[in-house]
Amino acid sequence: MAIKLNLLPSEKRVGKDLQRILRTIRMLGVVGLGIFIIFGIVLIGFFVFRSIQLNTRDSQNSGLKSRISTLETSETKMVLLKDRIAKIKTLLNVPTALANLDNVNLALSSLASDTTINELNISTAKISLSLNFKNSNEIAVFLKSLSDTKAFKTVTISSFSFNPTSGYLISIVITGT
Amino acid sequence: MLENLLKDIPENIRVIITNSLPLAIVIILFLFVGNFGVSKITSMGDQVAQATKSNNILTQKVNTLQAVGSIYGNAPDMATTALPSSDSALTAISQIKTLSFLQSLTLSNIKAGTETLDLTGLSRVDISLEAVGSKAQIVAFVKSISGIAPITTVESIKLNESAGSSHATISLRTYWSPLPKTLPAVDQAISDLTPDERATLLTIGKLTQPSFLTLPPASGGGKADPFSI
Repeated sequence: MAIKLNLLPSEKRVGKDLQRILRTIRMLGVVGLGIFIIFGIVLIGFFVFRSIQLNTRDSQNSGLKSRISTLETSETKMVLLKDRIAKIKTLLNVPTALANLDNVNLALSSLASDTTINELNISTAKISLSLNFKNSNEIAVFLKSLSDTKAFKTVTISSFSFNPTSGYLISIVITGT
Repeated sequence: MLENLLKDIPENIRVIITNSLPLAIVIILFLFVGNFGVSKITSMGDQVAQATKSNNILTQKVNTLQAVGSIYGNAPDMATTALPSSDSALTAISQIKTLSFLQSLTLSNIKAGTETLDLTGLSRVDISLEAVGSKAQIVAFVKSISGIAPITTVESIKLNESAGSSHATISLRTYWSPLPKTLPAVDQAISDLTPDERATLLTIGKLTQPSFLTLPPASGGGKADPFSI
């Protein structure tokens, strides 16, 4: 039977419990070193992968930038087109007197041939007109056609006069469309 | 050296230190390399993400620019005629005269004012003119003004009738705006026209373009030696 001998002096002897703990610590150190080496390799691998990815992207971007500089004419056209379209869009929304002209023209088309337009002023905000009617029936027809035009906010008869020679003279102010 | 340093320390503690030292070193290495390596890789990841983003923008920009020539053709020219880069009064008057000719109207007293900055931020010139003809002709003429390039808006119409003919004083506005002076940065995105912009472009396309006569330079004929008789 084998005999275990411990020849170390008693002051240099380490307790069994402490030996167990130290063994565990040494094992942890070895395992930690292994994990650290694997961690380092993964880190380096990832670094290399990212570097390659970055270089590829950078070279692709340089190529694309040089292609863009060859397409400068097209870019100028596009920038110009977008600039003009944005400004023209603003212009197309500018109020004009055309809407008022369209609306009042509908009503004026009902006028008899002997009715004369003494004055017709159309602006973006309002319409003022002075008409000379030969008979009162025509006035009724015209006023009805004005009221049928739903586009106007207000229709004001600002003056009304009669002269046996020239007929009925009516001044009207129309606002809003 | 370590032995010398630890010779005065009790045996138990010395054993603990010598056995724990490798683990401590591994932990310190973990902390140091981990901190440095992870931050480096994170920053590279950000750079790659940024480069990928730029790549997408540039690819989209190249595709858009390659399509511009084939899709939009002469649209930039049409748009520039609709809203010129300099005083558009002469072109507008020329167009208006053509319209009056089509409506058999007589125009007179055509006047153009000076450059004014409009509320829209664009430059404009006020044009006034007088037209003589029938009421129907004048109305048709005024309506047709909205269909010309450069874009001209009708501000007011003053019309009166006498002796069977109508006389109108018409106030118009025509606009222009300087061209953009700079191109966007090379890595700045440029998008294709939106459906709304395309609709505006269609409206621009319907405008009557002015007809300019370009005289080509005289060709041939000259003497080889201008000093010979």
